[in-house]
Amino acid sequence: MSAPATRLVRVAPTADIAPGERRIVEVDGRSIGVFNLGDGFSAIANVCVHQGGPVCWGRVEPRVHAEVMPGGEVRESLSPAPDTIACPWHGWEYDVRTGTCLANPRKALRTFPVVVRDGDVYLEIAERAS
Amino acid sequence: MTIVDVDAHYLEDYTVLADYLDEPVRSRIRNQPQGWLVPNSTGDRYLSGRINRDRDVPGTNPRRTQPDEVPRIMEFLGVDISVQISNLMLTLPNMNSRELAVGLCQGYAEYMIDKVCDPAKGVFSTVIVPTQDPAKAADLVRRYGRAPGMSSVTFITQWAQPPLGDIHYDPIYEASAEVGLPIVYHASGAGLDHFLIDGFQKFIETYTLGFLFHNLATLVSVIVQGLPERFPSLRFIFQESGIAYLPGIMYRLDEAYLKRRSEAPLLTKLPSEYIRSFYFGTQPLERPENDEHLAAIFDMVDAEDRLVFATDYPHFDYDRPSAITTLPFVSEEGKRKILGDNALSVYRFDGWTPPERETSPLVAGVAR
Ligand code: FES
Repeated sequence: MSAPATRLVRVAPTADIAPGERRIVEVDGRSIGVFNLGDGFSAIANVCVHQGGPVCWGRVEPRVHAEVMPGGEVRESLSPAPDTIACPWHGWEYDVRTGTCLANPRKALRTFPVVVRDGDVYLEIAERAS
Repeated sequence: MTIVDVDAHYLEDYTVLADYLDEPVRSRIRNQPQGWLVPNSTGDRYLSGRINRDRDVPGTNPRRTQPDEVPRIMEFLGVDISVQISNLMLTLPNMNSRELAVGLCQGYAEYMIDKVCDPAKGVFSTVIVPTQDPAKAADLVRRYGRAPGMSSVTFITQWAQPPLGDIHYDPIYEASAEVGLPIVYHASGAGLDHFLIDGFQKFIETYTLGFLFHNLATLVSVIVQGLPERFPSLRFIFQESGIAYLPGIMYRLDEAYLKRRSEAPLLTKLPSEYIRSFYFGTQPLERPENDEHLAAIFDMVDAEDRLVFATDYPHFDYDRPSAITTLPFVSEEGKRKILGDNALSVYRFDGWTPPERETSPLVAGVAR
């Protein structure tokens, strides 16, 4: 079976989305967030799997981790870089790269491949079956 | 289809409520710092800004509702009727001062009737009763409960002592029966710490338990004290705890009743049968991964006839109508009842007539 046909949709010049920033675009009537994470771009659907909220408007922040230290103290820490997006409607958290829901990994946001080429950022979008 | 939201919150400026009151209560309320006026509890509901309402409805102030913003908020939510409930007073029973509690409830009723309620547009409110003073609360019900914008009588269940089935509150129930309004029991996220078990560290703890505890306490007291038998015309609606807790208390209370019927001699049927005759706000509706589990709960609580949809907007755990429309095991007829028809039959929405259209144009937004 051949790979499904895709096309590239230009989002913006790379320089226009600084590290830590995002651009939300409409493609074929779908809202998609494109994030510059510093070490690369990611793109996720702007539709929360909870109740459809605009998750890509949410804050991108480091993830809260915790470990039990010898002696029993619970020490919380943050991941070194912002890697988690929280939906502004009710706070569901997702991995901003993979779209996986942190509280329930069986749920995930849709993600899209991002291509950086010749100074521009593109989304790779599957052609709609006609 | 008419979509009724039986629980949304109006973020009022309490100093404005003072304008409706006589001195000296007027200045006492106006000049009081809010934190001291109505104490709340541990935790930041909005996760330090992570949950954010700023972009929900452009041009509105997400921290202070203005009267003309309510219809736009309703459009954003996709609802046709909204019962706006004071945000400030969600922990009202924690006030020791009777005069200030009565004053706030009076100012709130006056303000809502004067500035906010608009039955033709589906904007309603509720008479909130100061449980600290049942006689004065009954006066407020008689005075404001007949206004067309008032859909119900609301008890805030946090900290209410004695529990709300007690004869102590009979004047309020009598007045409510007289004006023909249903009783709403509204729990809130405050009230577990500083009252029952102090020392919880996180809001997720007090939130999960606080609402539930107060609804459970109210359900048990209302049933065991025979309120439905003593006031047979009253109808009861419980808000703000979802529905998954109901089977647990239904069957536990049945079990206790079978052993200790002599302690509840007014009852003429099993406690679970009373619970099946009460109404329950849906929000925040639980969604177990296995739909059959929720379907079984729906069956146990007679959901299609007893649930009333609520958003609880703008609180962090609000629901949209899609919480109901996406349930795969509920019939179209059942969805219509839960989203609107049940509320239309139990609340009083005088002055509202359904617009001349087949379906709400807003239902389109609901499918998201
Ligand atoms: S819609 Fe995103 S958390 Fe609810």
